[in-house]
Amino acid sequence: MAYFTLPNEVTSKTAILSSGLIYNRSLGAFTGTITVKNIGAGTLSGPLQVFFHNLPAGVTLANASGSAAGVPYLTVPATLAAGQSSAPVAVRFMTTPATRVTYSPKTYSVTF
Amino acid sequence: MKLISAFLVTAFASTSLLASSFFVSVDTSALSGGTTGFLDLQFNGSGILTPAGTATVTNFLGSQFDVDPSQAMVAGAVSGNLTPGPLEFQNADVFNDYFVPFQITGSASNFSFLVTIAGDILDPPAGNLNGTDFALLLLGADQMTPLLTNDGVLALIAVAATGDVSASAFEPGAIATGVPEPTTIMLVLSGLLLVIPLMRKVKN
Repeated sequence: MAYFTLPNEVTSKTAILSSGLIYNRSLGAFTGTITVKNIGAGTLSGPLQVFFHNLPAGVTLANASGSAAGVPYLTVPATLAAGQSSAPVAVRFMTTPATRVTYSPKTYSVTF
Repeated sequence: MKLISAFLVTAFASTSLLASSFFVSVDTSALSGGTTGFLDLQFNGSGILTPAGTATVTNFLGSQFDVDPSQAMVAGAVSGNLTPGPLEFQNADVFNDYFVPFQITGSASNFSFLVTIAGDILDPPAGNLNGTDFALLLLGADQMTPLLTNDGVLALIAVAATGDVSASAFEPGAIATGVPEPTTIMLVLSGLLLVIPLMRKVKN
């Protein structure tokens, strides 16, 4: 899947920390959380948009805030000072339990 | 006094790198007698770079809550059995799951167990981004309908990417609380034995 260009990419200034993923048979999905940490020197203005590039075939981000060019994203409504982390944000990946959920996150400081 | 406090903090911090134990107890009396379903235990990381870890379940005790370990379904890196125990999970695979049928046999049913988390996940390398979660779910006989909570998740013990461990219980009758390790208690006691003569000396 091709990457695209948006203003205010802050990927290099953020770390996306993931919880373990628990498979919920009632939802048919792995559920967990992500946390965005500001690893840069300055403040990151919110909201932050975390895009989930390169999800494996058959895996969808069921609770996406939206998508752009076919890539789903989650909105993290937080402004982060240097070293600060966001509150955990729920993620829900629809897939089978045999599928390892991997992705390449890219983060933007932009309002849609 | 300051010396004792400092030692206690050190003792707990150092043993937290070795293992972290939790007592999980669930009141299932809201389920009527005769109810059948599945108890689901999972221990999964979040990616291929997740530090290695184990979760060992012991001391499972059910009251009017019968499980049938001979019918347990296992996926991923799971060994042993719930009874007589121990049941050990590794977070090596994407889905490490123990799924066992249960039956409620009375109106005051409940169950409990101990789970001990250990391994590199408690002392991850700097910059680690991947956590590991241990979860307890209860599902109906169709293996899908959540019981007691909206999504069937009754308790979650989360090991964050930083190595911090937290426990949550989501059903009013469920608890998940930290248990001091025997090694922790031994360390604290031995520390006190060292500190008391020192304090006596200072006093004199």
